[in-house]
Amino acid sequence: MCVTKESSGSHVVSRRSMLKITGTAAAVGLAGCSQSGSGGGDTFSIGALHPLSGDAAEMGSRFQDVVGAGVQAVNQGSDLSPLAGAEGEGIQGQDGATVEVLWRDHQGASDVARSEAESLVLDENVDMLTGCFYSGSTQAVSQVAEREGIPHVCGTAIGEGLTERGLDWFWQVPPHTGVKGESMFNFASDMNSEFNAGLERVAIVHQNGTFGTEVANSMVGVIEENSEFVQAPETISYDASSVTSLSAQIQTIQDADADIIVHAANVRDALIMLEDMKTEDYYPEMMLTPGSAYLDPSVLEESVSEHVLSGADFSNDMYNVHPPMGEYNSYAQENSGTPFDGSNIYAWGEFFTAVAAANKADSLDPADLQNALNSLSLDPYAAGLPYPVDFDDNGYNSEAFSFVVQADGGKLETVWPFEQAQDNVMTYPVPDWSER
Amino acid sequence: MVLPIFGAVVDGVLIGLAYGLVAAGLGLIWGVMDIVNFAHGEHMLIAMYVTLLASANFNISPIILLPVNAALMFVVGYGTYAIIIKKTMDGPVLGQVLCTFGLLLTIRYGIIYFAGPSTRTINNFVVAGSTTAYGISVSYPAVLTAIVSLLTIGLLYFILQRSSVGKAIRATAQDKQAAQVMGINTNRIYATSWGIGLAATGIAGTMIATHFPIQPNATPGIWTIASFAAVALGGLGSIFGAVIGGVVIGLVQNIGASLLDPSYQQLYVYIVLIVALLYQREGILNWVSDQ
Repeated sequence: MCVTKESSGSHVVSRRSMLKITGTAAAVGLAGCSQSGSGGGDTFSIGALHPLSGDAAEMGSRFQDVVGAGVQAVNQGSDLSPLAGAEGEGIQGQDGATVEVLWRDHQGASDVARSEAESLVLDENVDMLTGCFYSGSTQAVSQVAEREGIPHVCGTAIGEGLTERGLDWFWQVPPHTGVKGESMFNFASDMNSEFNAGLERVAIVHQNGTFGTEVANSMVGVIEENSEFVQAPETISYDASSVTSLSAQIQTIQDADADIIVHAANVRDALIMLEDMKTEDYYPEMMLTPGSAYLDPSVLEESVSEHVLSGADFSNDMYNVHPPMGEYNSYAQENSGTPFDGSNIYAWGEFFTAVAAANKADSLDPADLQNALNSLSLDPYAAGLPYPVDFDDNGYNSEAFSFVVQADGGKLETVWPFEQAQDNVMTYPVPDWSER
Repeated sequence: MVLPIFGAVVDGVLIGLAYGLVAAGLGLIWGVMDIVNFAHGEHMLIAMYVTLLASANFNISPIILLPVNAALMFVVGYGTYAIIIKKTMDGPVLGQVLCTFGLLLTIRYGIIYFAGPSTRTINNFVVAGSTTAYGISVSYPAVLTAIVSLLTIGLLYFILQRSSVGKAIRATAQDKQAAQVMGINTNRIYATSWGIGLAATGIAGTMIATHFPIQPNATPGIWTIASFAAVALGGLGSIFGAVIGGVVIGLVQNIGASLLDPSYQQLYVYIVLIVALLYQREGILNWVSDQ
C-alpha cells in the first residue's frame, strides 16, 4: 500500500501517493461511467445473482449456460419467434441496445446476496436485478432493489410469500409453492375421479430451511382448503445439513398409513429419502415433490428416482405440446451445450421476462422499466415459458402454471394436465421396489 | 411399538459404528497431539472420491479399494504432519486451528475443481440391496460398513496395544519429553499417528461412500460434527471411547426419532451430549472405568 509510517505510529498518505490514488480513482470513475448500463444507453445491463458455488453450484452453472445462449439470441438475433427480444439484433424496443448479464455468486447466503446486490447496483450501475433461486437470498436482494429503486425480476425462486411484502420493485415469474401445491393436488384429485386411486391421507416431509418450511406451509394451506385430503401425520421436518438417515421419518409415515408423501428437499436428502424408502421396502401410493431437487439431473440419473411425480414447468416431452419450447431448447443446446432441465428453464424464463420488459419500456430508466413490468402482458412462449406472463398488483405472475411430471428412465414426462400428456405415459400404480 | 424400536436400535447401531470409525481417526490425532483436525471430513472426502471415481470409471469394487485407500490416506496423513502440521507445533493453538481449516478449504475446493460440486452416488457396488427380518429392514452396505468398522477398530486396538509403534504412540501421548528421553522420535510418531488416524478415516470413507450420497460441500461437515460429538461423548484420546460415543449418538438419533418427534432428531443427540458432559467431562468410557 502507498502509505508512510510517521514516528507517532499513525498511518498517513503521502502527497505523491495521494496523487496516484486520486488519479487512479478518476480513471476508474471515468471507465465506470463509460461502462454504466443506464448511463451508456446502448446496453441493457442485468445483474444476475445465483448460487454459483456450494451445493447448487452445478445448477448455477447450467443457469449461466442457457442464459448465455439467451444473450446470444438477443444480441445477434435469431428466428426464435415469438421469444421476446430475439427478433433482430439487440433489443428492438431500445433501438437495438445489446444486453449483458453480470453474474454474481451469492453462495446460498442471504448476507452475501445482499452485499453482491449492492455492489451490482451501486458499483456496476445495472439496470435490473434477477435471481436468486433461494427464497432467503431473493428476499435479501429484493430489499436492496426496493431501497435503491431498481427492478428485481425473480424467475427462479418459488416462495409463496415473496410477492406479499408490499414491494414496488419486485416481480415473481414462476408458479409459487401455493400454485404448485394446487396443481399437484388437483392432479391427485383427478387421479381419484378418473382412476379411482383412493388417495386421501397426505404426509408432508420437508427440510427445515426457508424453502422447505415455505413449501410445507403452502401444502398445509392447500390441503386445509380441500376436503378431499387430510394431513396424516403432522408435518415432519429435518435438518438437511446434518441428516444421514430418514428411516425414522419414513417409519412415522408408514405408521400413519399415508397415501401421498409430499417431500420438499435438497438434492442430497432427496437421494437419502429414496434410498431409505428402498431399504425399508416402502413406497407410498404417490410421491409428489415440489421444488427442483427431484428434477435435478443428478437425481434423475439414479434408478431410485424412477416414477417420482413432481410439480414442474418442464418435461422432456413438453415439446410435443409446446413446439416453440422445443425450438428454444435446441437453440440453447446448440449454443451452450446445455439442454433445458427442470431448473434452468426457470433461469431462461427469468432472463427473457427481463428482456421483454426492456423491450417494452420507453427507456432503461428504472421508472420506465417498472412501468413496463407492471403493464407487461406476454403470450405463452414470449418469455421463454409455456405459459403467459401477466403480473398482478403484487408483482406475481397470475398466469404462472405448473404441470405434473413423472421421472421415467432419467427423463421427465408430462402426466398432468391429462390432455397435455402423451398416450400411456404415466406409470400408476407405481410397482414395488422388487418389481422394478 | 416394539418392532419400530428394535428397528431404530438396529439402525442406530449400524450408523453409530460408521460414526465411530470416522471418530476413531479424529480421536487418535486429537488424543496424541492435542490437535483438532478440522479437515477430518475433507480427508474422508478424498477416500470417498477415489472410491467413487474408481468405481464409476473402472468398475473397481470398493472392497478392493479398502487397502488402497488406507495406504493412500496413511501417506496423506504422514505427509500432512511432516510437511504442514509439524511447523505449527511450537506455535500458538490458533495457528494449528487455522492450518487445519486451510487444509479443509484446500481439499474441498480442490475436489470441487477436479470432480465438480454435484451430488454423486455409487451405483455399481455388488453388495447392494436390503433385507427384512422380523419387520426390521437393513441395507447390506450398512451392515458391511458396520462389520468393516468393527474389524478396523480391532486392528487399531491391536496396533496401539501390541505393536512397538503403538506403544511408542501411547508413550508419546502420555509424556512427550519422557518418550524423547527414552529414544523415541516423537516427530515420526506424530506423523505415524496422523497416518494411522487418516488411514482409518480412509477406510470409513470408502465404506460410507457405498451407501450415502457424496456432496463435497455438505458431506464432510456432517461426519466431522458427528465425529466431534462422538469423541467428546466417548472420551478424548480413546479409540473405544470414540466408537462407543458414535454408537450412542446413532442410538439417540434413531430411538429419539422413533419414540418422539422425528423433526428434532439432532436436538436429542446434543441434549444427551450436553447432559453427559455436564456430569462426566472425561467421557463415557472414563465413567465406565471409574465405576
